Amino acid sequence: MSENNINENVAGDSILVPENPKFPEGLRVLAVDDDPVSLKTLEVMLEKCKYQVTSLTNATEALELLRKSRENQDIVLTDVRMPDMDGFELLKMVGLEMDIPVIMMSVDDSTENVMKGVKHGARDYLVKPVRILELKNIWQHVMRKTVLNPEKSSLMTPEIVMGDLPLKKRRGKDKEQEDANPLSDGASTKKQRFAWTKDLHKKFVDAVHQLDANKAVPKQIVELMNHPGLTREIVASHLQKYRNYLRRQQEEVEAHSYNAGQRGYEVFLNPTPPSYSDYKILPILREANNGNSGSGIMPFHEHLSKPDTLSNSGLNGAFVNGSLNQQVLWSHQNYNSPQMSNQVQAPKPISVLGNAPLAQSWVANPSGRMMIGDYVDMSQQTPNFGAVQSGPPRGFANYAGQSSHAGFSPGNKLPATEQASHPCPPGVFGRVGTPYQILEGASNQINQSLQHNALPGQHDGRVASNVFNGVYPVDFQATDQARANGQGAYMQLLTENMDNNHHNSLGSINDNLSIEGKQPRPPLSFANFAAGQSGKSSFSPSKLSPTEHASYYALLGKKMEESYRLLSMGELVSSGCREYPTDIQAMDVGIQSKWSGYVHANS
Amino acid sequence: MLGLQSYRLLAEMNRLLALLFHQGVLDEQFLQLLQLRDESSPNFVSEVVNMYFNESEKLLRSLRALSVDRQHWEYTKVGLHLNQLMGSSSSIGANRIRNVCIAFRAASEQNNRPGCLRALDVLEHEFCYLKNKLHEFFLIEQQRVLAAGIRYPDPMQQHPN
Repeated sequence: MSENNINENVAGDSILVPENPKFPEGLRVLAVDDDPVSLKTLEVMLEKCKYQVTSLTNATEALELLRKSRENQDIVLTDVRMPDMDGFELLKMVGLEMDIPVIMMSVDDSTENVMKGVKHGARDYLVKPVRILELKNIWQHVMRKTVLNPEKSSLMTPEIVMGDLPLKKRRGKDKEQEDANPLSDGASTKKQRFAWTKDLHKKFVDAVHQLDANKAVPKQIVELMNHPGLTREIVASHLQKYRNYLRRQQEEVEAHSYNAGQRGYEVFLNPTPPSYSDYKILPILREANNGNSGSGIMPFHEHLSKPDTLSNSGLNGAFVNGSLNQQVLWSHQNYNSPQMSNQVQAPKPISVLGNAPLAQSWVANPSGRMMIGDYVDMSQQTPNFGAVQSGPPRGFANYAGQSSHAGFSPGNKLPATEQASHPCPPGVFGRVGTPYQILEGASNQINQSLQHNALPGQHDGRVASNVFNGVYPVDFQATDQARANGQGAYMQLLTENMDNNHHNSLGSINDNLSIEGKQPRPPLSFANFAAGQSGKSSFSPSKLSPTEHASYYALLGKKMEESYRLLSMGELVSSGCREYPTDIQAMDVGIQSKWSGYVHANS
Repeated sequence: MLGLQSYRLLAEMNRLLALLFHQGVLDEQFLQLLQLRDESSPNFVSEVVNMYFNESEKLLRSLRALSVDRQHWEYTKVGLHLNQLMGSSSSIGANRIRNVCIAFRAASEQNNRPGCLRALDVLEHEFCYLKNKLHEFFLIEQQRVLAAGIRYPDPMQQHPN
C-alpha cells in the first residue's frame, strides 16, 4: 500500500505517501526480551514479515541504542517482565524521550497488567505466544503516529495540500497542520502567530504532566517551559485547544470504533485513574455497538461467554492513549479488529486424525512401531526413562553442532519417575544391550557422505550408489557409548564411526538389496532390512524393467514431492498413509500394496 | 527402498506429532514454528528447541535449588523464573509445560509450599518427556532429510555389479 488517505481525521486535504513503496516491508523493529527463546522466535517471525529486526535481551542496552540513534527504529517490542528493568519503565522512557510506538508482550494476560500497559502508553499489548498474524499488523501503530505527525515521520513524504478550512473544523486538530499553515489559524487572535513546534509542544506536554494535568495552570506552565517569547496567553489558548483536542479524541473513539488518534507523549498527561462518572457513557457505547454489527464489533457480553477473545484480543487495533477513560477501554474490549477475527484462536489439542491412536495406547506400546534401531525387540517395554544413566541424550544439545552441555539427569531429579509411567519408546533413549547387536552389521556401514550430511537442511544430494545400503545413518550404539562417556558432539561420533567402517560401504546400490524375483516384494519393514544383510529380501529398483523403473521413479518423485509439501497431518492421511496402525506390518503392507498398485498401473 | 523410506519417515514424524498433539503436549504454536522454517534458516526449529531446552534446564535447576534448602522461599525469584519458563514454553508451543507453570504460579501466589513442590516435580517430569519426544522427532527428521537428499542414478548408467 503506497498511498494513505488521511482526510477525515486530520486535515481535509492532506495526503501522505510512504517513501518506501513496499511499505510495510523494511519496518525497523527493535525487539527486547530477556528470554532468548521467545526473542529468537519473535525475530524469525518478524523477519518473515520482512521487517528489519534488531534484537536485544537487555533493556538498558536497548535504551542506550535508542538514545544513540533514535532515528533508526520505527517501533519497539518489549517484554513486560525483565530482570534488569521493568518493561513499563522502558515503555515510559521510550515514550518520553523518543516518540516511538512501543508494544508490550507478555505471557500474562491479566487485566491489571494490560491496564498498566495502557496507562503507561503502550500502543498495544500482545499476549505470548505471539502469532505471526499479530505481528503483521504492527506497522499500523507507526502509520497512525505518522498520520498525525507527518513532519516528524521518517517514513513518509508529506504532500500536504492545505485548503481553506472553516474555523470550526480546525478546532482541536493536529497541531502540526496548523504549524504548516500558520496563517489560517483562526483560534489565535494575535497578529504574529506563535509557532507551536513539535518540540515545543512536547515541552508543553511535559510541563503539564509535571503539574498534574487537572491542575495545570498556564502561568506555571510558562514558568516550567521557560521558553523565550512564550506568554501566559499563548499557553492558555494552547492548553484550551489541547484539552479540546483530547475531548474530541474521546468523542471520536466513541463514534467510530476504530480510529483514535493518538500521540505518544500525550499519554502522560492523564495519569490519574478514570473517574467513575465516566461510566455513564457506557450504555451509549453499547447501543452504538449493537447497531454496528457489520463492523466486527463484539458486544461486551459476548466476550463473557468467550473469555478467550477478551484476553487474547491483546487490545489489537487502535489502541487509545492513556488519557482516555475507562469507557474507552470498554470500547476497546468491545470489538475485535478484523485481524482478530481472522486469527486462529488457539485450538484445543488437535486430534488430527480420526484414527489417531488413543491416549492410552501409547502407554502400552509407545510408538507402536519400531523406532530406528530397535526394530528387533518389540516386546521390550522397559521404561528406560528412569534407567538412563546420563539422562536425555547429551547429543541432543549438540544437534546443531554446538558444544556439549551437561545433560539433564532425570535420575537425580526425578525420584518419582524412576519407573516412569510414561515409558519412552524403548528405542530412543538409554538403550542398553541386546537390541543393537543385530544392528551391528547394518549400522556400521555408515557412509562417508554422512559426515557432510549430518544436519538437516545441510545435505547435498549424492548419487545413491555411494550412500545407502539400506541402512540408516544413525548409529545408536555409538551414540549410546558417547552418552555413557559423556562425550560431546553427536556428529563427531558419526564421523568416527564412519571412518572405521566406511570401507564396508562403498560400492553399488545393490549390495544388500538383491532380490530373487520381482514379485512378490516382501513388506519393507525394518526387520527385513536387517535380514537384508544376508541378501535375502527387499526390493531393488535396479531389477525392474526400464519402463517400470522409470515409472516407479517418476511416481516416487511425485509422491515424495507431494509428501514433503504436506505438513498437515490430516492431509497425510488422505494421501494414503494409513491411519497410523500400531502394527508395523500393516503399515508396511498398506504402503507396499499402494506402491505396487502404482507401478502396475503405470507400467 | 530409499525414497519410500523418506516417505515413511515423514509419516513417522507426522504420527509422532499427532500423538503429541493428541496428548496436549504440543500445540499449534509448534506447527507455526515448523512453518517458519525455510531455505534461509533450515535449522531454525532445532536451534530454537535446543535453546529452549538449555534455558529451561537452567531455570528448572534454579527453581529446584530455590525450593530445596530454605524454610521460606523467595517467591519473587520463583515468579521471575516461572515467568520466563512460561514465556519460552508458550513460544515453543509446549502446552503442557505452560499449563503446569500456570498451576505452579497459582500455588506460589497462594504460598502453597507443598503445591509448589508438587508442581515442580511434574514440571521436571514433563520437561523430560517433551525433551525425549522432541529428540525423537528431530532424529527422524534428520534421517528423512538425509534420505531425501539422495538422488537416484540413471538406471541406464549403473555401474556394473
